[in-house]
Order: sequence, then C-alpha cells, then structure tokens
Amino acid sequence: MYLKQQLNIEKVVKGCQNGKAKYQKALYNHFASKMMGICVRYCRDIDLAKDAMQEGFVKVFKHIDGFKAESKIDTWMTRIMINTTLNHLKKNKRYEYIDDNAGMEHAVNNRHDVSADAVSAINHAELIAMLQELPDGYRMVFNLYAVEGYTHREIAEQLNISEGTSKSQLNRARKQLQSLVVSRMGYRNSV
Amino acid sequence: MSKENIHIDDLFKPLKGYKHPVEGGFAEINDKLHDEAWKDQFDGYEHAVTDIPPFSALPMAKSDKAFGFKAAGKYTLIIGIIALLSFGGYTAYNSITKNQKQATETASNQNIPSLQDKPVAILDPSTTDNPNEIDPNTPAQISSTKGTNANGTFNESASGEHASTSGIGSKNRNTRSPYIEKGSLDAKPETNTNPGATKSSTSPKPKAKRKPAADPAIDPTVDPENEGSDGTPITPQKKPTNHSNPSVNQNKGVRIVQADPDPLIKSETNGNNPDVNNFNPASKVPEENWFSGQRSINPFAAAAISAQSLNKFNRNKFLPKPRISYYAQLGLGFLSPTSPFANATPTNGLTYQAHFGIQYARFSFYSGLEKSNYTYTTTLRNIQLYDSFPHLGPGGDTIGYFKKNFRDTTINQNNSSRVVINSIPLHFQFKALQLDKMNVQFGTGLNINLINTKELWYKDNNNYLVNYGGSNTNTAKINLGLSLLARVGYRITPLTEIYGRLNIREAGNIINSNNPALKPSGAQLDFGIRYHLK
Repeated sequence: MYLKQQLNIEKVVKGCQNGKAKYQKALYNHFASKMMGICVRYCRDIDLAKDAMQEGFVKVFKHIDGFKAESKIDTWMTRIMINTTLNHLKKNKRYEYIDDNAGMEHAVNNRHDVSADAVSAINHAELIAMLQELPDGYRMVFNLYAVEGYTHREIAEQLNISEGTSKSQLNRARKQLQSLVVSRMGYRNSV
Repeated sequence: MSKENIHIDDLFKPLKGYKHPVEGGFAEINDKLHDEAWKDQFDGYEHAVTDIPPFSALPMAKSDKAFGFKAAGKYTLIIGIIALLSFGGYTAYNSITKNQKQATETASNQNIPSLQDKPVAILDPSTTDNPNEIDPNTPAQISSTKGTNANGTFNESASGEHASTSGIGSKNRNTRSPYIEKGSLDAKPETNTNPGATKSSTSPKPKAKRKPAADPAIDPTVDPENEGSDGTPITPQKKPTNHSNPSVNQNKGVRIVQADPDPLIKSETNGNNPDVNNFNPASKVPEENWFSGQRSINPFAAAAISAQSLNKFNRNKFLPKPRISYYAQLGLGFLSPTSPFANATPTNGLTYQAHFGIQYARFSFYSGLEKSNYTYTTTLRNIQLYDSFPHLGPGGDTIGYFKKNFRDTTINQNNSSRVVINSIPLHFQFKALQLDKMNVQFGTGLNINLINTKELWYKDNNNYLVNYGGSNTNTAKINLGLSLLARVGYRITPLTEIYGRLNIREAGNIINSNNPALKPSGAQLDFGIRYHLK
C-alpha cells in the first residue's frame, strides 16, 4: 500500500513536471488539506489562508521542475507553503513586531504550562482558533518555533528580524495562548 | 502539579500534521497558473503596486467591450457630420468654380467680357428708361424696337411675334436667377393710347438709347428699311403693346439689365453682331426655343456672384491651414575642407548627421548631431638645426651642450592633422519653392562645435611646423560656427523625402591663440532622407 502510494506520487510529480493538468489536480487533491492546515496556522482567517495556499500551489506547479526526488514532495511543498504564507502576510503588512526585550529575563523562568486535564478535550480546530486570535507577529514566530521547530536564529533570518525580537514575540505569544487556553477551559468547565 | 501540566508549545505541536478541509480550489489555481498577470509574480519577481495592469484588465477596456457601439457611435456621428460638411462644401465649391470657369470661357469664346467681371444690377422692367436694359429672350421686342419708325407705327408681324413671345415668357417664369426678373411690360397701358407716340415719350424719365437689336440677317423680324438712314443706332423704344391683343396686355416680360453697356454697344456697332442673349450665358436661350415655350436657364448662374465674392473674401477658408509638423532625418555628407595654411593639403572626409526638426508652413528648425572629420596633410616641414659641442665640467664630465650655428632646413615629411568636430546644429530653413514633389529650401544657423583634436600640426609665425596634437591648453574644446544651407528635397512618399544639401560651414578658431589661428571650414554636400513623424 505504501509502495503503491509512493509510486503514484512519483508519477504525479512527473506528470506535474510535464505540465499535465490532470496530475496537478491530483497533487492538489492529495496535499491541499495538509497545506491548508499549514496556511491556516499562519493566517488570521480562512480567506487569507486560502489565498496563501493557492498562491503556494501556483508556485509549486511553477517550480516543480526544480524538485529533486532526494526529498519528499510534501516536505518541499511545506517549505514553499510556509515561505509563501509568510511573504503573503508581509505583502499585506498585516502584522508588526513589538521589539521589547524587557520581560525576557523572567520569561525564561516563567513556565507556560497549562493543566493537562484541562487541555485534554481541546481539539485541533480550537487550537487553530486560538492561534488565529494572536497578532500576526506572535503567531508567525510561535508557529515557526513551537510547531515547525525552527531556532530563533532561523526565525530571525526568515522574518528579517532580530533574535531578541523573535524571543520576545514567542514569549508574548505563549503568554497570550496560555491565557486563552485557561479562559477557554474555564468557560467550558463552567458550562 | 507540574507533572500534570503541559507546556503550551507541546499543546500546539500536534498541529504540525493538521489537515484543514478544503473544498475545490484547483480551478482558481489553474487559472492563476495560466494567467499572464500572475506570470512574473512567481519568477522571483514581486509584483510592484505601481505596475500598469494590462489594457484588457482596465475598467475602461471592459466598458468599451460592453458598450463599444455606444462609445464608437459618438465619434462616428461627429466624424460623419464633419465628413458630410466637408464633402458638401467641397462639392459646392467645385460647382461654383466650375460654373465660373464655364462662364468665363463662354464669354471669352464669344469675345464678350464676362458678366462676372462686371457689377450687375437687377431692375424692374417697368423702369425701362435705363439705357442698359436688355431683354435677352424676346427677339420680337428687339425687332419691334428696331421696327419702330419715326411715326410710331409698328411692323405688324413684329408686334405679333412679340406678343406671342411675351405670352410664352409669362408662362415660363423663372424665379431662380437674380438676373431675371419678371415684370409687366404693360404696366402703363396709357402709353399706348397714342399710337404715334413711343413709350419713352410718355415716360417721366429722360429717354435713353436702347441697346441695338439683332442683326436683320439673323432676326427675320427686323426690317432693314426701318433702320436709321445714317446707320446710327435708332433711339430705343419701349416695346409697343397692342391693346387689341389680350395676350399682349397680359404680357409679362423678363429683362436683364447690365450696368455697363459699352462692350455690347461697341461690339454691335463694330458689326460683330453678337447675339445679345449670349452676353450672359446664364440667361442664354437657345434659338430653337424662342418660340417653343421652352427656355433653358443655367441653374448655377446665381452662384457666379457667390463665387466672385468667395474668391475675394473667403478664399482662405478653403485653403489648408498650416500646422506644426515634426520630422527626423538622417544624412551622410562629403566634406571638402579648405586649406588652413600653405603646404597643407586637406583631405575630403565624411560627415554623419542625425536631425530632429519642427516645421510650420514654410519655416523649419532643426537640431541634432553632426560628426565631421577635418583632415589635413602637411608635406613640408621646417625645422631648425644647430651645431653643438659639449660643455665639460672640471672633472671632464659633460654638464651640457653649447648650441651654435642655428639654421633652418626643410624636410619632406607627411604630418597628418585630424580634427573631429561633433557639432550640434541650430539651423533655420525657409522653403522658397514648393512644386508637386520637389522643394527648394535655404537656411542658415549656428553650430555648437565640440572639438576633439586628434593630431594637429600647424605652422607658427616663424613658419615652423608645431605639433599642437592633443594639447588641452592649446586647443579649444568648444566653439561656435556658422552654416549657410541650400537644400533640394524630393518627396518619394507622402511622409518620406530624400534630399541633397549644400552646407557651407565655418567654425571658430580651434587654437587658443589669435595668431596663429585655425578655423576649420569647408563645403559639405549631404544626402539624406527625411521622415515626417506627424
């Protein structure tokens, strides 16, 4: 089953490299939800995420000739989607960074924990909704750091900001998410 | 508590594999994939906000597509009206001119001055005392006048014909020509109460001599015996009216009056016997129609006056108005420099020209860039020789040379001087002659010369050949020159013209010294092509 799927993906990629719309559609159908999941984490709303995803797919189809089989296609596409979404947000200038390192010292020691029992019932949709409530700058840094696993240096290079700004954005994002989770759980428990 | 807690990062980490449901969307991607407007955006180029969108994307273009007929209709209507007026004006003008030409030709063919060259008055036939009045289409009237003798009796046949003719004339009114006016010849029937009296005798105004009638040889109604015995013109009489003939009483005649009768009188008395009806081609009545009740009228006779006034006052309205036009021209020239000094042979060189000009009516101005090469070759060179011997120091070492026995000598040596002048012409031209396709223009103007001295050998006051080559301090970099131009152009297409031009040019001194001075000058023959841009 796995081999068959792998084989199909290779065929689809080859078809996309030949510019065949049929294979492009197949690739889109196969990866659209996953790529949309990435975009929706970075964007404030679904519409923006959809735009970014479409833009990302266009870029994928334009540059799929340069894709080497050394890496997985979804990894390559994920990278393109993240970059496209970030560029999309930059172009729309929907975010700003608050470069404030004042709270960094105690932030290191401050644990951003929430009760495991409380969060057990939180599904992915609710998490996405919480992420979308964050300011764009917070959300981008948090996603890159906490979800994608980038370092602060990589984030700084990616977003063209300083490492300090990345850290402060992350700290604020965590704080805000913590309060969001607690308030959401408190509301749920009260209901 | 810490064991039961979870870090906020860990809470969101599972989102890495999160899949968000998507409905459709590939069609939009496919559209963007093949949309030219998106093409550059994904080739490492970020679409600038200021980029001009394609024309088809403009709202105006869409509007034009949707309402193209409406948009086009407005301009079509305007253009149509202009075209219609232009065509109408052209046709009218053409007709007027043609008619005027025909009238002139008719008059000249009959050796009669054209009516259009004379002022024309329109008179009421009742005021018949004007000596210039002529009835152009009633030969009976003329004959009856001629037939009137001193006793006032009339030739019966003459009066009858007249009555007949007059009656016909009354049935055929022509109200179109201002030369002709209908009136009753019987407006004063009491003048006929006395058969022995002429109408003129009862008129309150003094009599005037009537214009002589047609030749009896032509007009059978004329009785030669009734002519004056001395051959002098008979006193003109009013056309008699016969009260017994009702048709005569109701007669309504038509008359044409010309203010200047002299040519007609003169021509008749000279025996040329012109048909008086022909003096005005507008009112010419063919002879066969005299009694047939038909008359032919030139419908454009009235326009002759208009044409006359048109020529005098409104001619400029029909001439094309001069407008500003622009042109570009490229040319290649052959320069023949004049010799700047003795023993220097100038070499013909090429010049290259690129001009942009503006023209209004016969005047034009152009500027641009011209590159000219001035080359001179100096064959004889004067140099100074001397003898020298060393000046030895105390130690026997040479510390210098004494020069002695100076003398001049001449050697044969080819020294080539080359000066390249890039000039910016500021030339005015006047078109002195414009033929169908050819024109001749004369002009003059200044040249701003940018001088690049490659090599320069020049004889100084002592006739020594001095090399000024490449010396910034000795040669000028910029100066002014003057050009005199004569140009012949020949149009090969409506917008393209080839030309030949003679340019006699002289530049200012290119050496920073008045003595010696070198002023590159020469005659230049250019050939080029001009293209009118607008």
